[in-house]
Amino acid sequence: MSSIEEKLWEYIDGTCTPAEREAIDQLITCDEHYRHKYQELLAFNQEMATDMELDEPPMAFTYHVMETVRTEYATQHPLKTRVNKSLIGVIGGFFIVSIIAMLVLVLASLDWSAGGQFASNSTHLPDFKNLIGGTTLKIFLFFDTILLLYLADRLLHNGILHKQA
Amino acid sequence: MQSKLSDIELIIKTMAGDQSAYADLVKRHQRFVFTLALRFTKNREDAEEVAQDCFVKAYRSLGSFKQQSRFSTWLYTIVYTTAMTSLRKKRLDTTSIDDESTHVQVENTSLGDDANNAENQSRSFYLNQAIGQLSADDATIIMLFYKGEQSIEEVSQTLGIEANSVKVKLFRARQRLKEKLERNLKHEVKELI
Repeated sequence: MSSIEEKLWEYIDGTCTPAEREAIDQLITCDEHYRHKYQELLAFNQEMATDMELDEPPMAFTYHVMETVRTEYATQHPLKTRVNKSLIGVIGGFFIVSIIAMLVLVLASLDWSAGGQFASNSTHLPDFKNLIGGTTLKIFLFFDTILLLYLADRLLHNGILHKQA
Repeated sequence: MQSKLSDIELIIKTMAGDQSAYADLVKRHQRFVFTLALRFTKNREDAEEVAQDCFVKAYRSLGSFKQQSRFSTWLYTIVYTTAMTSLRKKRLDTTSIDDESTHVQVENTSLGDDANNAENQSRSFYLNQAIGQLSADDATIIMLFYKGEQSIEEVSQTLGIEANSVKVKLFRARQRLKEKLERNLKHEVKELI
């Protein structure tokens, strides 16, 4: 009995193989009991598809959800989004480049011909006084000012957007 | 008036910071999510809490939605997991005898209501009443298949079980629903006589 029902449900759901489908088609046409059962299940299937009702949540349901979301957004989300991954990448990159540059400078200034002997006297460090003064310092300060203005603009922009939200 | 945009379009807008788009998504799916939660909790207050929790969880995890399946399938997975967790917690808080009595109470209440309105009740009322009397698992699988318009594969994805198991469970759930519906209708006929 249940086997017949199981096959008929597969037939109705369209999950049986073409061969099974053909066999069931045949049975429905020829067998009165099978046809009756099929019609009964088909009606029940139709009933479930059309008559099943969904309950209505309370009126303020969406409002409550959005309030919770807004509260979370105000407390957590901005912290997450303000940590700009590309900014972290740039800072990380700067440090890596600096370390590599220092290593290169140190390695380049070593006197390799001194062999195993300590050759501290022959190490020539670059003249930092020249690097810091004059044009380099002006370029550095100019770059800093641009960066500061950009960050201030972003902060103000985000602040306005956040107030609007 | 709900938005005519697709779920995916609303998700894209939400991800871009438009919270009203998410409100539209909530409005679109809230009835199904609430009803599914109600099948587990058996009372409206808890169902509201579970359904609300589901939408907040979904919002938090929107970034992890890969769009490989329908949004509804992804959302129903969250609903099923959250509702199951809530049910387990509830079961830990109460004894199994309490659960039985709650179930009987739900049945008796609805049967009592039936007696008063018997003449006006349609078969669809009894169908919904019978669904309310099913176990959470049976009701979920039937709801997902018929009201969630999910295929066997999608239901299997939502419940985290094999498609063949879904077929078997769906078959058994339909049988139990049919039995309950027939029993309720017989009861009503007796009441009328």
